[in-house]
Amino acid sequence: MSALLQAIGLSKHFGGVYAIRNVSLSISAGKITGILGPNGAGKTTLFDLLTGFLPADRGEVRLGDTLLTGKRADRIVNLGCARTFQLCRPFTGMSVVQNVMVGCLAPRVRDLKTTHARALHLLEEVGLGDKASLPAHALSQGDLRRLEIARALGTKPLLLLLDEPFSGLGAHEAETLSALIRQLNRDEGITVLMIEHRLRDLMLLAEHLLVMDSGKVIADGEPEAVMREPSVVAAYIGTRENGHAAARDTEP
Amino acid sequence: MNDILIYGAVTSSVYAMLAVGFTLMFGVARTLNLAHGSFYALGAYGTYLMTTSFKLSLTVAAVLAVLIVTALGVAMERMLIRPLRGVGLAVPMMTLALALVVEQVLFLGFGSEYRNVPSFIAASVIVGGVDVSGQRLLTVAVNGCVLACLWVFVHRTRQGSAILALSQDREAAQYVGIPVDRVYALVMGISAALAATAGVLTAPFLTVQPGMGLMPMIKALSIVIVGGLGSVRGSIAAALLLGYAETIVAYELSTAWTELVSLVAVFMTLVLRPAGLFGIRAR
Amino acid sequence: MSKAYANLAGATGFMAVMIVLPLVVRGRYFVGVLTLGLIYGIWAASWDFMSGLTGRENFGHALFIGAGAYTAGFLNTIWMANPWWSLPAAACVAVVFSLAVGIPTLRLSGPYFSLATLAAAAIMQRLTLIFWERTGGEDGLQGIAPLLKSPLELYYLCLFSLVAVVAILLAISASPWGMILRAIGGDELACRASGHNTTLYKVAAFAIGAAPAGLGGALYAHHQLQVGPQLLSVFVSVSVITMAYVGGIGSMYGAAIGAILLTVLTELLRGAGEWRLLVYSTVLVLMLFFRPHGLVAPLWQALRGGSE
Repeated sequence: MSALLQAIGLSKHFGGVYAIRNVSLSISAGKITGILGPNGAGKTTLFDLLTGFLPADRGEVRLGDTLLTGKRADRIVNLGCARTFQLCRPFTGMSVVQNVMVGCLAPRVRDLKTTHARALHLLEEVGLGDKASLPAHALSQGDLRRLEIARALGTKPLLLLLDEPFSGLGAHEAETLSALIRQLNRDEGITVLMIEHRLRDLMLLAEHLLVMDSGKVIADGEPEAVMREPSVVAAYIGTRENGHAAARDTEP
Repeated sequence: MNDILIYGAVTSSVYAMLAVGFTLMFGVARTLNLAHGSFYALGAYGTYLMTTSFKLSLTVAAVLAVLIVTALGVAMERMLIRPLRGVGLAVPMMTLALALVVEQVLFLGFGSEYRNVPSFIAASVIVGGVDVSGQRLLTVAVNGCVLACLWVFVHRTRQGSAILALSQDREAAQYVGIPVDRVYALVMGISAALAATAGVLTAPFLTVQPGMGLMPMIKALSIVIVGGLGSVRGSIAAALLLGYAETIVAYELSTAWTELVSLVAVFMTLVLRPAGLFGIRAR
Repeated sequence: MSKAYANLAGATGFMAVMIVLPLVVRGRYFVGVLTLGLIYGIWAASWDFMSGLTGRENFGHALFIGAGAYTAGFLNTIWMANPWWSLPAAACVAVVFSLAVGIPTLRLSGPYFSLATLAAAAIMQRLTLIFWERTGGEDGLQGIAPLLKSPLELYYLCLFSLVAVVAILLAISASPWGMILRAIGGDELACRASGHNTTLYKVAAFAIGAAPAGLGGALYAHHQLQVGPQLLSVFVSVSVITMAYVGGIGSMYGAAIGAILLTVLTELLRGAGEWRLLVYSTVLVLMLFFRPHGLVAPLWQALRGGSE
């Protein structure tokens, strides 16, 4: 299995406090990898470092053989690494299809003649086809999530980083999203790296799991095995939202 | 040499008063108050009005002027700024428009000729071999005292801690129950008071005309950028730096070139170290 | 009627009115006022292009206006150049200024850009006063040669310029590049996450907006035949912004029409004399409070039936 994304010794501190301390990871191509961890573990900061939205203090990130650290965020997108945000960020004042078109206009994939058509196609793929001409701000939370994904897909990424895509979704919306992610991974071969809090949704999708706590990776491997590790269990004791779920999901 | 030391101190202290107020508004309330120069102008004109039309004694007029301008600032924050918070960049625009309104009102009320405000201390004093006007010395003394008091207030009182908390993390401060709106009003009041005091003190020896607030505010902006947006320490450090640099340039070269000092300083800061001397984030 | 036809009809109607107007309402004075309105239209529309689309507020558009005007003044009075050279020269000088201010500041997040634009115009104004021996100080440069023999001819030149400028800016705005600029205005971070070098786009938009402003400054110089430091004032910057707000931010044609309307209206208020400036600033305050989306563009869109 080839490593698509590799991080070695990443560190980031804010005024003396380490948000990420010596993190190394290896994401295999074609898999869905999950990142789990309590609030403040540094998950989103890690995403920011991987995608160039924050400069790393130490360490390096590589996509295949290409060095990503030190490059501008938009350059990294054009190398094939796209992300979504924890709090959806639609382009206000523009329609749904226009939002996706902006993604389709990335230099990496730009083809002015087919931009609109591609955008519509992507909207169909994520299930927003009938909402194409609506203003972006009229969408529900779940739809905004899918819009973000469609926009990111516009850049034809090799690796898609999803930041808590399931947060705030109801059971039905979560199922649809799950199916979409699985389809993107299996049918289009997009490698997925996702941060998620909701354990059940994550366990159903992830083939590889990383657990973070206090800026470090405390476990890395197969989901079932990882969830049984004592350090992981310890990290979750007392956390209402995940404690019970963890207990339930690790039962045979 | 000594005259540079003393005159540099006068300039720096005035700049510090203006810059600290501006940076507090931005650091704590995330507000770009482009009407900041208006407080400075209104302080000066208020003193003038009260000594000439109302025939009040200078000290009373000065204190009243500062209080009134402070009240105006708080009212402005409450009625015109607060409703527009979060509406894109309407707030800086609004304050800019207000600055123009104030300038026009001053122009219509007082005309464009320079006005004379009497000095608090008419006599000159010899300090370190330099003949300095009492007014200028008073300026340094009062400004220094006020800033020291401000330091004590921010670091030793409860309201001061609220201000610090809000400047570091707005959400966390809200969770802890800090009344955000009231702190914003407090900071605006402090900001206006500082600027008005500077205006009152310098009115006797600097020109009093309707547009007098613009360049001091641009100066304050430059200092705040060089020192670091939101950093009070940075504003004071940069005020000293630029105040003295300008004084040295004025003495060694000519007064004409002093404007370029802050321009060069800002440009260098933006290109080399945008966060400024004590700023937190580089981008 | 489809949107495109309605727009075309509106534009044609506007053109027809503006072409005929000075012929119907005769008088040198009135033509002069209209010409000034057209020049303000160029300034307002060019401001609207960058600040309206990307949402990065430029508080110092007067810098480009003054730079263009003084370039025309210097070329004409000191270097005795043919007035027609002023136009391209003014545009180029304005672009250079925009790069000097824009490149260091637009790559930073935060209010640096807005503060720098305000400061740049104010400092430039101060410098023209400090170096009064070269610039004529308070009185500025006098005795600039007119571009064309009759005011009517100049009017039509300005009308042509305004229409050309607005047409070009609208074309860019409607293009994919315009869409990216709007995306920057919507959410810059997300736009970067969509693979675009937002700094480059912002700098380019800033420069594209600066050129017509400089051009307008040169037209102004050859219309009023004198230029002074008031052209660099905050008041000019705020007037331009007010016109764009009245017209409807981001529409460009709204800014142009707003400019013409406001210029004509303030001339009618000539009797108010010194109160004019106060009126302007108060109008902006009111607009921000009650009608942040403007008047002209929303009105046209309502008339046309349906929003953009």
